Amino acid sequence: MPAALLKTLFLTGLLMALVAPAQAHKINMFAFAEGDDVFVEGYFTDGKKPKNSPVLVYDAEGNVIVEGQTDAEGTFQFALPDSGPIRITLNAGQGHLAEYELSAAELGLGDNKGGTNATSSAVTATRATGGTPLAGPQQQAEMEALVRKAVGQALRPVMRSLSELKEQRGFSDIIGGIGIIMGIGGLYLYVKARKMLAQAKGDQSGA
Amino acid sequence: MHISEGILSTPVWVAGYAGAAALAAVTMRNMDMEEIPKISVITAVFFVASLIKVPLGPASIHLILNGLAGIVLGWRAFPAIMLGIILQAIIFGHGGITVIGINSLMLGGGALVAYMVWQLRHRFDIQRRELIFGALAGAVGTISSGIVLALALVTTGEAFNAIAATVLAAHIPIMFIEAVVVGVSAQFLSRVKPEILAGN
Repeated sequence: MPAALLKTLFLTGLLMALVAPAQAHKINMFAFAEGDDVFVEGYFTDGKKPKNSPVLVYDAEGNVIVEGQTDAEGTFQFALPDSGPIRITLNAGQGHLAEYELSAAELGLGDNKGGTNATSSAVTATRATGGTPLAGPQQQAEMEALVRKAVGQALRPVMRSLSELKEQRGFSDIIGGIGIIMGIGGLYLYVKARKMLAQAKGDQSGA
Repeated sequence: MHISEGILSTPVWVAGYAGAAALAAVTMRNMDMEEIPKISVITAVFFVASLIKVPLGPASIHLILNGLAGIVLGWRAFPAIMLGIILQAIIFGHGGITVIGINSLMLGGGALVAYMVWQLRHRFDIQRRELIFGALAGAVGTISSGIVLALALVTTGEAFNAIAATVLAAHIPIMFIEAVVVGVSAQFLSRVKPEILAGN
């Protein structure tokens, strides 16, 4: 038995040596408000993209408010909803589903509807009163929308890395898991051994 | 091959838990002390196998090794795989907490079918039967899990034939790899340490 155990342990070690720090075939996704849109991107941990996968967006009451499909890049965009929080699901098929929640704050919506509009108009107002106005309020609003959009697009890779980082589990998790398995085996043996010892003692004193 | 959380309706995953608990209770009966280290090691192998990426063309796949658990542990493969799945769900978010039952039925059930196929080798007096039946067990372990996956997805309203075809097509490469890995392992173990294999 010890030799067999050694061989299986060797096999385990061999397998562990090949472990990559992330698992294949888990679908992950992230979403964030980008200008007047919400940008959604899904990806498998092995880098594949979920193409033409159904995306559903639910409001706080659980009603479907947006329904769509990812493109070839695994991304999907929809217009910013009126209120938050929202829950987005991406079904990559064959039992793979990812979920992502966005709070009202993350969507850039205040507690009450129209909060953002109030702030941005306030900003416009201050800018308009102080100094020379660069352009009319309409152009300024357009400019702001463009900036929001550009910043959002620039943020995509950052958001993606963050989401990957959140999902990535290291080697220590794997070792920890193996430790738990061995620990459970040990615990079982300990309980059994105590029972056997107690029984043996009982037999001795009885004899 | 794990079902994610939030796909199956509540009655389905609750039924999955009930089925897995019943199967675990049956397959854990009269467990011997000497079996525990072997079960622990195979649980660890299964737990880790799903995290190893094998590059295959543009994508990558991972081994399941439930067939291997079946030929080494016999009926005890079920509790081993269930424990592996619980830990994968808790530590890695692989699958999810609500679907532990149904994922155990899927992968553990595949291991039990693999064991049954493995036992058929006694009926054949042929050369290299460990290699052949080990390979068959590896392939069958993957296929039966795929069938359970398709059955579970049918409850979400997908047509069985369509979803079964997609699932099985996606698992054909892994089926061949599992067949080779389990077949070679069975052959190797039967030469160097035959008593480690189940159902001698």
